[in-house]
Amino acid sequence: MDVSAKEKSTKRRKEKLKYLAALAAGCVNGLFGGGGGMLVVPLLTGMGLDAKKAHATAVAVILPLCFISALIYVVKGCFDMTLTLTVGGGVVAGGVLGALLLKKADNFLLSGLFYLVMIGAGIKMVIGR
Amino acid sequence: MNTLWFILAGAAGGVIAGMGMGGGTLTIPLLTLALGADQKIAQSVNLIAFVVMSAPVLAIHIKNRLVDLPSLLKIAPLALAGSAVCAWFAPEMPADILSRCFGGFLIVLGIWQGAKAIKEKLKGKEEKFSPQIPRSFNCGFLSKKDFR
Repeated sequence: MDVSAKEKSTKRRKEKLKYLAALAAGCVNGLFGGGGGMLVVPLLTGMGLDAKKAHATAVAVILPLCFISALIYVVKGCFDMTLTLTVGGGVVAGGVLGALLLKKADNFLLSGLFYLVMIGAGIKMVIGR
Repeated sequence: MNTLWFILAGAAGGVIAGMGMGGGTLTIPLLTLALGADQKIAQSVNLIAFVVMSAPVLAIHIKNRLVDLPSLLKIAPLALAGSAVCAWFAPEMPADILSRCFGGFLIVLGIWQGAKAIKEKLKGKEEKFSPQIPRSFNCGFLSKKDFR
């Protein structure tokens, strides 16, 4: 009985952690205007979803977040029409290309390069321009 | 000329996003560091671009029954609340501080995900060296043990 009580408490703690991670992912996405998906996907795989389902479900989680956040940003005046149209057009075209390339690319090399760029950009941003 | 660079920056982020690796984490630094865009404007652009790009993607995922509704319902409410509150504060924050915080987030994320990718790569190699017996071999009287 003691053991099952202990199991129950760790289970409850894990449950709490999941909710905390969901809240954190939302905060990150709202504050930085992106990056929430990078936290939601590992959260979902931790909940037992396979990689494909985790990615799909993450999109379903992040889409409403981005919609609400974008609405708040625009209402508060953080909006640039030209930039949105040019970059947005590029993102949509690139997104289609990326989805098509997904099966062909050597994912390890590409993701390794991506993370290196990410760390480099992060260091530059922390130091400041 | 500038327009072309903005389209290319978006495309670079879009390719990464299409591959399911979090394109916003590339688009935003590209816009701010390489093209000199304002941090908050870059964030707003990324949010809007994501909504436009992922709406049809989500429709396809739903059609393929890849969205797990119980997990979605569990996570979405708190994530939604967190993002609404933080999106309210972000435009009020000084761009300089916001940019530095975002940089810190990128460093942590890059190290974490990079380490994970290396770990998975090493794991994959080990599996290659010890091939598994195909399941079709296991037909009742023959078990995996018989092949060892």
